[in-house]
Amino acid sequence: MSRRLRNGSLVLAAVVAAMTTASVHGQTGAPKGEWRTYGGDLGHTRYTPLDQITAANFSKLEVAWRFKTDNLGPRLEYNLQSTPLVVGGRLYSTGGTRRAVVSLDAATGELRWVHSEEEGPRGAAAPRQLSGRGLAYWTDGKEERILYVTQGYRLVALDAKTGNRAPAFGRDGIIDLKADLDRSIDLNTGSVGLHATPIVAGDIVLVGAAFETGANPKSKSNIKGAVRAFDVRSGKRLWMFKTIPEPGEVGAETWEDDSWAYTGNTGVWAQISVDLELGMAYLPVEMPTHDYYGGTRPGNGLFGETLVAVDLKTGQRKWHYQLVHHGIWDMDIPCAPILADITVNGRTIKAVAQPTKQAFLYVFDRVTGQPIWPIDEKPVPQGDTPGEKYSKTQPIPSKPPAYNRQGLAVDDLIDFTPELRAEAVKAIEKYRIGPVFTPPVVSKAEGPIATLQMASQGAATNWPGGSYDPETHILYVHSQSAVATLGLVPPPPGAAPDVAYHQGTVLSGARRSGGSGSASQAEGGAVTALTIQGLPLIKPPYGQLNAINLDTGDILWQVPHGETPDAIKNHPALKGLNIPRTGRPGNVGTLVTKTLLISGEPGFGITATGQRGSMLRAYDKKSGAEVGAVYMPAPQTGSPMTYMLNGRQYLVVAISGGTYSGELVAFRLPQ
Amino acid sequence: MNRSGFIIAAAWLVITIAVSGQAQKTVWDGVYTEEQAKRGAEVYAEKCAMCHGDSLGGVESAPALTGPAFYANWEGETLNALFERIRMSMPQDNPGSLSRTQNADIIAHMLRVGGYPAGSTALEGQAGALTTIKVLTYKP
Repeated sequence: MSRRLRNGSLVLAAVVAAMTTASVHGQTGAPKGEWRTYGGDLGHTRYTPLDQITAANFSKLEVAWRFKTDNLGPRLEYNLQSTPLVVGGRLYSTGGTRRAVVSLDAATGELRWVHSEEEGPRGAAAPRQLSGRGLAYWTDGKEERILYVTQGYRLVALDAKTGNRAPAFGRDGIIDLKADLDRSIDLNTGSVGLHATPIVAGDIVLVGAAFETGANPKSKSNIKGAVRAFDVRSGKRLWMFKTIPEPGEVGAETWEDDSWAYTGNTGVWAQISVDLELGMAYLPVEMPTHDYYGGTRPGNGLFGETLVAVDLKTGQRKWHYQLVHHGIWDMDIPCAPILADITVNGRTIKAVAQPTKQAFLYVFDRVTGQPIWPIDEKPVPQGDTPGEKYSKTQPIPSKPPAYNRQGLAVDDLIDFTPELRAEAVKAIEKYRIGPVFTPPVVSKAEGPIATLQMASQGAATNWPGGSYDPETHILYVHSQSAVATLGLVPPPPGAAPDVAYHQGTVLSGARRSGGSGSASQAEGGAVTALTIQGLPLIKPPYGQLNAINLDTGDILWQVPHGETPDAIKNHPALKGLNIPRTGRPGNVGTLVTKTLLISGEPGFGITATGQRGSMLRAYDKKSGAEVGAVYMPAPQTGSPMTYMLNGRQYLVVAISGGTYSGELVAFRLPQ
Repeated sequence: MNRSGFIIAAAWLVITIAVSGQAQKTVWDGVYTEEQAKRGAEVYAEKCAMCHGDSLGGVESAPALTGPAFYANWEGETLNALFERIRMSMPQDNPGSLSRTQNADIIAHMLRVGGYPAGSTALEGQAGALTTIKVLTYKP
């Protein structure tokens, strides 16, 4: 379905004709005051040299326009994660519960066209619902296309001027991504999808794969998550990179007992980065089937949780580096690798830096895959889960230091008062704690009930990833602190015949799905959250921004991001105490401009003006000092982007949550 | 004060008392029953747990429905706001498929897990009743 709302002649054809795909380079920031790809550039710097909005005027920003996504789908969406694109005065975004694509006038927000695909049961069965994280743009200077992946896992190419499908691409503008995988799957019920955007690099479009979350799989076997490349004009498949090698291929020996044959997942559900000059794509691969138990896949399991560099044109592996051996912590690799040209000891290096859930920033020479600073294999805690075969060591970067707390120690527990600390110590006495890579345990009533870890699902950095300033060589990334409960219990009878354990505890039983949460037994048998008088188990900060100097590998500054939640401010146990800003937990994206680091705080609160909502905040890049803030009625759920149009700089951010349905909000300075 | 003035003042007083009476009710006032929470737990296990986790702890693609971060987002809102959000958007694979009573039962389960006390009257799934109950994370 496509509906053109206004004549496409308003498109600035002359401007478009002057643009070439070569203008989106690896690590130069968003060019020409536009935002042509999800990460600003293909190196995912989320950087712009625009400088009209500054520390001096940020707080004066006013709303230029709003775009509500409510009626783009059959129901309201409360988690709008898109980063829109802007090219030639048009803004493109996904939105709504059917993952529609819209083209807006970037100056006014006026809707120009909308496209959506009604996918029936195929869409309803998709493992990744809602509107996704956005889309991709391609032009050869004449034709312009928008590409996106539907909920039902089809790659669609649209004419950017009209929103109609581009019939020369695939079959009438569509490639069925469920076809031609490693195995034949039911096109409706086969559970694979994608909420990341496709990546257009030159005339090639790349797509990964995402699955249901894997804490309690129905089987040790699943679909394998290949990465595929297509010709952006015809839709012809150019190559497929198999993330699980077969016998005779590099890495096959890391799958013992023929476990390569049935194990699946290892998708690339995060954004892919590309260096067009080197002709290389950087694939952040997630973990193999089962997030917390690896007994059915002994061995290190390449290319699970591995950063893989492949030739953009052929898909041939150039190098790889596994960040987690035989993962059982749901670390994945959750976000785009960031391409950064840095200077280390006087030597210029084309580098790639990978933020992670485990708060290590892994930095490599992106040509060779060699670590910039040594990454040493170090012994890690071993567990005793029957059937599990632990990796004895894990690769630990010597630099930069971890940018967020990782494992869990008594010193991490809430410490607003000695009484709260004592209560927290008691609350976890039946749990196992330890440093990063402390493994999950089989849950026992007498203890351990579970392992508690911060470096796991829900930890430091997730899908929004970070930003990088190519002028100063500083990388910026948000991180959150939350505690995951890593316990194992037998699956419910009949739920997973070939799987020994699901994530869960003796208190809650096996989980039906999903990742880590925290729980403890309340009097009377109900499960309650593992909190201390309703306060978080751990001390703040709960969310922070980190600035890391990539020339030296040192952390430049760290500041809590987000006002102290009202509920903590007002807690009776904290009366009379001066609680500094705690930051808030959440998945938070950042934007770097010539002078500012910009990011919305997660979560709602009563803001300084007395309005319920959330603040979009600006920080001095060098010091981390907050220099401005502007009110939003709901928290940021996408990542901010910016562009220049008719002499004015705009900031656009997707907001939603609570009772506030998805909305794009555009800010600019008053005239 | 003349007679009509007295009537107006009296009416204002009644309204004020009624309104303030409504505003004073919070999730700490025993606004659901144990039995209702148990019913809600069953519906939750079938319809919600697959995304939000069995113990409401949240997962990668769905937020926690308990704990400080969740309640911070609803602090000061009425239970009707929470109810409407659930009614309009959940369960994600078939929104609007649960009855008002089932949604109220689910909220009762959430309150139980959140540590809010049960009472002797079940939570009604009607806007009139739900708008009188405020979410307050901590006991006032």
